[in-house]
Amino acid sequence: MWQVVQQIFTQAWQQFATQSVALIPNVLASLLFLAIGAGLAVLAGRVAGFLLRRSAVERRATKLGVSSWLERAGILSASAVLVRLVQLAFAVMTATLVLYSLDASLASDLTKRFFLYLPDLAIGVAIFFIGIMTARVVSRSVLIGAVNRGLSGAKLLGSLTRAGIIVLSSAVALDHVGIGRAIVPAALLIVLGGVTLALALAVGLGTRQVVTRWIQSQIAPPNPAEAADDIRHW
Amino acid sequence: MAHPDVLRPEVAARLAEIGHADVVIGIPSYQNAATIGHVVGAAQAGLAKYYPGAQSLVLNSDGGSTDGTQAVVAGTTSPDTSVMMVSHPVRPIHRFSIPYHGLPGKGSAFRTIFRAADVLGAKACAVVDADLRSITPEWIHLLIAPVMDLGVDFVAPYYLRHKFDGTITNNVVYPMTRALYGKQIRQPIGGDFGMSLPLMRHFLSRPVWDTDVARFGIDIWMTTTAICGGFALCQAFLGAKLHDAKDPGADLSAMLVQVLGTVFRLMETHEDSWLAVEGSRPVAVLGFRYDVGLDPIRVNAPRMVEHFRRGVRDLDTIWGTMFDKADMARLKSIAARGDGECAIDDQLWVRLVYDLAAAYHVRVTERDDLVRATLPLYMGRVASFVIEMADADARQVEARIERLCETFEQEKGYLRRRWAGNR
Repeated sequence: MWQVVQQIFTQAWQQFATQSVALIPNVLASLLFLAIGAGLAVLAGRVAGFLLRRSAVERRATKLGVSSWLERAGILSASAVLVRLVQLAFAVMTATLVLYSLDASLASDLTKRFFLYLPDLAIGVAIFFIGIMTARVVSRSVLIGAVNRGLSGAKLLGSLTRAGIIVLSSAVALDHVGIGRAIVPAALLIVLGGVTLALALAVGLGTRQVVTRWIQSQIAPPNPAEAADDIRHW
Repeated sequence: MAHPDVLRPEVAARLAEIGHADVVIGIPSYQNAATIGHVVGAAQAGLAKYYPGAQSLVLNSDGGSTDGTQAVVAGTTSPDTSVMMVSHPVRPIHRFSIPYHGLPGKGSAFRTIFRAADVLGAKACAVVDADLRSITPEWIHLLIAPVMDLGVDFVAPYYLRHKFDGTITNNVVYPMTRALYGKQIRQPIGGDFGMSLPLMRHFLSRPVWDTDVARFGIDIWMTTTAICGGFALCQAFLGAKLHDAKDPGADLSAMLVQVLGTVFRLMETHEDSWLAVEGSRPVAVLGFRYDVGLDPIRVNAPRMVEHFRRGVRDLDTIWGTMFDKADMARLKSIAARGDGECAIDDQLWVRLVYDLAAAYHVRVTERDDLVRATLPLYMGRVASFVIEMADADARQVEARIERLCETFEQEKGYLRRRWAGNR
């Protein structure tokens, strides 16, 4: 019996060694692709950065208000984002070549599925970013309008507006890319339904008096003692 | 030369019948039935008294009033002066965003009036607001005589106003126009002007008439264009300016966007002019100066201070993208003071205005929001002014505004640096 075990052990080891030796050129080729790809990505990033610095990209981004938004997201400049995108493109190409060098059929299958999925992914990302930009613009207008109208909780109103738009656009984006197709819309409906129910209960029952007083204070004529002045500003 | 697309065929035909006028008085109007009769009457009396031998025309350009304004104008007759009524085009959408001066399509009205004066070959034209209660026949003489007799191209008004009236003029538009363009025109957005034919033709040739500048800021545009065009300027002392009662529901943030937005856009148009200017020179004031008593006005300073404090508390993230950290810290310490106290000093105010101008210049997509966000700052500044000048008389207030103007001029180097994107 021990001889059989020894034989199986030897055969398994020989097979492993043979296949590993056969795979070595693929691994070496993939490492070479990785090294070349990394080098090209760094070089492309430097070239892109040089060209962008010489162009008017930063000035245009500042004019469009993109720079201030990126700064708040912790990103130093629009040029930095574009350089990273160029490097990311080279990284994706390198990864594809590495996969091909290791297993052509697997790589081919993965690449096909990725490119079929890419339009949905791109649209999902676009929906998300449009939602972010819209949330920023709308919440800023709500905040400024609330402060100028004298509403209390202006910052809260602005934050809720931003959060609401981001949540909605995230749900639409996730649904579009096919992530949590059953869960995300259901979760959103539950949240919205819950908020609506809570508001209805508050208005209808528990806080009727408070809401009535609040509505009256919003629509009632101002106290003459607190009335606007007679200044003609222009 | 008249452009047929500005004057309607029936208007052009009527002007052809009239043939020629030496003097044209233009009165743009919109829903001014309560006051326009007095204004037209004053214009007619002024022309009859001071220009009896001249061929003159009173031209009312109405923006589609529905309160009987044109019926009132039609009812004012005079054997000495022709009165002509036209209407200027106002797109329906523009009626929804009423400009701060209350007259939608004011730019279209002025364009119509200037074209008509051009067709008639008028030597001089004056435009007056239709809601004036204090206009007298002498105003016509004061606005027209410098053009007819002294070779002046642009006559700006010089009013006596209550010390707390015209706060945006006193705290921003006048000192800034003076610092930028070097001419001390006290009421750059006055509303009542006199001008010569060459200047009117220059106005007509500018590509501004379909823009927001014409809709919301035609007064400051005319003043700035006249200064930057090198035209001969003077000011006419008109006495007190009393308007029809203002709309209490008027949106101040919209007023701020319209007025400051126009000032900043004009800075971009005339960048080459103002960057090179240092200091300022007085502009002659014609007419006999006198003092006049003015009705007191109510001012609610605590409400303005509260608005300022709300802005400091809730808009700090937006302000922080425009203003220096040190200036933000100063604003916070001002807001933290006791009830009723607010003192935004001149230097801080000037730096904030210049920072806002630079931000407006750089951030094209967020411009109006940036200006709207500074309404609390403006209210804080007005409150500071009201509190400081509570017991001051008119002369002391004027001296105080003069000091503010000097600060605007001294800090112009700061504006140049910020405009160029540096600190």
